[in-house]
Amino acid sequence: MRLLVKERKERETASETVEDLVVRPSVAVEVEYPAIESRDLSVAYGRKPAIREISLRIPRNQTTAIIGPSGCGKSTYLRAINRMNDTIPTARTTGQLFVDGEDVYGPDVDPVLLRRKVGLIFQKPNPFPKTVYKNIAFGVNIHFRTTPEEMDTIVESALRQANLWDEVKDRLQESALGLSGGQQQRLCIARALAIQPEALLMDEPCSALDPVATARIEDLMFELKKEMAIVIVTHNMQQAARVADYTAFMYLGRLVEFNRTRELFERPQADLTENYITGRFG
Amino acid sequence: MKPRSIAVRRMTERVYVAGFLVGIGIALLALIVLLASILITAWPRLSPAILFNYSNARDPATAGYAAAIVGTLWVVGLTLLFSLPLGIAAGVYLEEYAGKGRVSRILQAAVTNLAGVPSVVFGLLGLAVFVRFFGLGPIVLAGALTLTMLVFPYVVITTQEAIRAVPSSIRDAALALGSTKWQAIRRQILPAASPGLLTAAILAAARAMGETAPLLVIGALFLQTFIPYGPESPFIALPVLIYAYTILPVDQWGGVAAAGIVVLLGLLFSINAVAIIVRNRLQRQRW
Amino acid sequence: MPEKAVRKALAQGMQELNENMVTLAELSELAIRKAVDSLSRSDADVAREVFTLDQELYALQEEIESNCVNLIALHAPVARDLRAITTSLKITTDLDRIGRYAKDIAEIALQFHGQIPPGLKDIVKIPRMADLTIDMVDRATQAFVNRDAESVRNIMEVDDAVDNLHDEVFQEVVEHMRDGNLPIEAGARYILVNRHLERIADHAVNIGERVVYMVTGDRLPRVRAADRAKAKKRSP
Repeated sequence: MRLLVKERKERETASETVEDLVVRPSVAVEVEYPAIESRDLSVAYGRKPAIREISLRIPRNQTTAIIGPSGCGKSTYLRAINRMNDTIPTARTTGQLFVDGEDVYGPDVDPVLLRRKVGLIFQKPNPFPKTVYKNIAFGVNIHFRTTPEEMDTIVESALRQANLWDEVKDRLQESALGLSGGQQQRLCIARALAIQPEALLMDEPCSALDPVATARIEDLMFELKKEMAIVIVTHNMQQAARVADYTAFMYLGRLVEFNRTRELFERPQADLTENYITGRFG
Repeated sequence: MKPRSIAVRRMTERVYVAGFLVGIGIALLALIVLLASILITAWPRLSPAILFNYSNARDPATAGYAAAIVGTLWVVGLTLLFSLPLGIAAGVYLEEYAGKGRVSRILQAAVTNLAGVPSVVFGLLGLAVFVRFFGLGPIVLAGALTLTMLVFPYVVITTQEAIRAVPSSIRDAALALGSTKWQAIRRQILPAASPGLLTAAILAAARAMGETAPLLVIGALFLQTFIPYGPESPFIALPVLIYAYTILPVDQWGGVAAAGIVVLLGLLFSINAVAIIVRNRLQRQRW
Repeated sequence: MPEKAVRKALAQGMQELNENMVTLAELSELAIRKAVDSLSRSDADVAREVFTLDQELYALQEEIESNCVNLIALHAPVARDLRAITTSLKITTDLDRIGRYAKDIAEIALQFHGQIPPGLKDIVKIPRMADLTIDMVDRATQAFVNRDAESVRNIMEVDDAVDNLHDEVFQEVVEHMRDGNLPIEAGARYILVNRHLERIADHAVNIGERVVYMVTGDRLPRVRAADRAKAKKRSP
């Protein structure tokens, strides 16, 4: 019994410490006309808080990375943006989240429409167990009516946008599960692109891929950001440094620092940030 | 700290494997003995005539299962027609839409408990409700409705298992693309679960085909010299007829009964085989 | 408190780098001290020690450079580690140069062949310049060792004093040569020494500026001495 009490005390002190450390997050850049903005967004699973009062502005047509140690809430924050947390019964969300100026947690907003505008790519590639063609057609069919010719065009254009067309153009009617991991992930990206999103969320999209596949997806991100805001959660700091224009650092559910990537990695403002990115902990 | 003997570890494994083999050997042996004894008993009566003759209680040589085969097909067919849509719908509801609240838990418990009810109870229920209360009489429809109630919980449970076996990543992918819950279920999850759903169908068919007690209680005939002509027809079913023949003196009618068993098993196997072929073809498109 | 150190290899590499840099800084300072000493006492032995020091400096600088490249290639350092490594790379050049000038001064000392340099006592300001310069090098190297940005933020102003002294010494030596109080050869050599010391001071300023960047990430603007003087006149 005494042991349990001791453990709880230690845990409480740990989170107290971060409260002391993170009195106010260090947001060093002003983002005007953000693509996505959260204000005091908090998510809790049951009674356990996952993210607390995150206020962050994601710029348009840029790549923003969210870094932080495991369990700091970065995936939760990402999934809150397109309301995927709604599918988890114990999740409670408070605060506001604006996509293109509209509060997506407002009373009349249907998450289904939000998810067309804001796509999500998962950590492990998850193509449907169907043909390549049908994978892409699925999303389009849900939101639009098309003729077969229009659909062919859309499928091709999405695959081209995802740098996958040349590799699959002769096997559109074969199962998507026969593709390599990197190809499957690009297929998932094509699938999301086909419904013309305004922003793309990526949850550690390369962590299950080899370095060559990773590099191809990073190149892809470089192209895509010309047309949409990209938010990538990654625990690989070198990746964040490579691909992101802006970086946010989260710790224990809170936003610690947000700045241009080169500033954050050259001279971080918060000691916590510095300690994390130099590998002193995490 | 001392290393353990590898010889002992290997030997232990061999002992366990031997135990498993013994277990499965007994099961296999029992099955073989059963089938063999049936085949031997049925041998003298196994001829195509058995499929075309009507049943009678006088002459074993001219007794057959024609009416019973058609009756069984009618009853099982209608049972599948009723139970599959209902059962799959209920399974989808319980697995996808029902919350974690008390009501859902009660519903789930009800279904699970239904599966454990002895089949003769369903027969009594069918008799009271369908045959008498609704005044249907002992017709094919009444039998099908009764068996539907019996088979329903199995379909529900198997459907739930099949849906659960679909990786949640597929559901997440569909929802993330902006599909509603139903769209995700109808277009991705159910198709992905179709091998499992087919299993549910096979299970339902097999049970319906083999149940004797409920049909007996409903009022299936023992003797029928015409082919059942529709849902409103009085009927005779294979298991019931087999049972009837076993009541008669065994030296003369034993072979006929055994032959009936062979016919029943044959029917079962062919339906199974068809379903398995279809399922394999579906599965080849997947992982 | 977040859990402690990961990346032991990097931490170890950084520690080694720091130790080497401290040694390099100390060797540089020692070189210039000995060089000035050998000149004022015309001591050939001390002068030769300076030559040895210069070679040690060069070897150590090469090793440090190669270590830095390794650390960058293997560990992809960021933030303070990155700044420390890039600063170290640049400072080694400055420290090596200081050693080089010290060697030049020692060579000049040798050219006096053991005789007290004529007229040196009259030119009071050379020893004063030497003191200031050595003080600047000391301040810069201490700031690096202690990671103390504040002590060197104003190092530019000391350099201004050194620059002024440099002009004055030049005038003084030229005058003495014109008056005939000073042999032309000796005077020429003093002018060279004068220039070497001024250059050493400039390198010390470089080091100071880089230390500020390493510690704070700020880059100090390079303001010309003339503009600084003007600014001072405007706001006393």
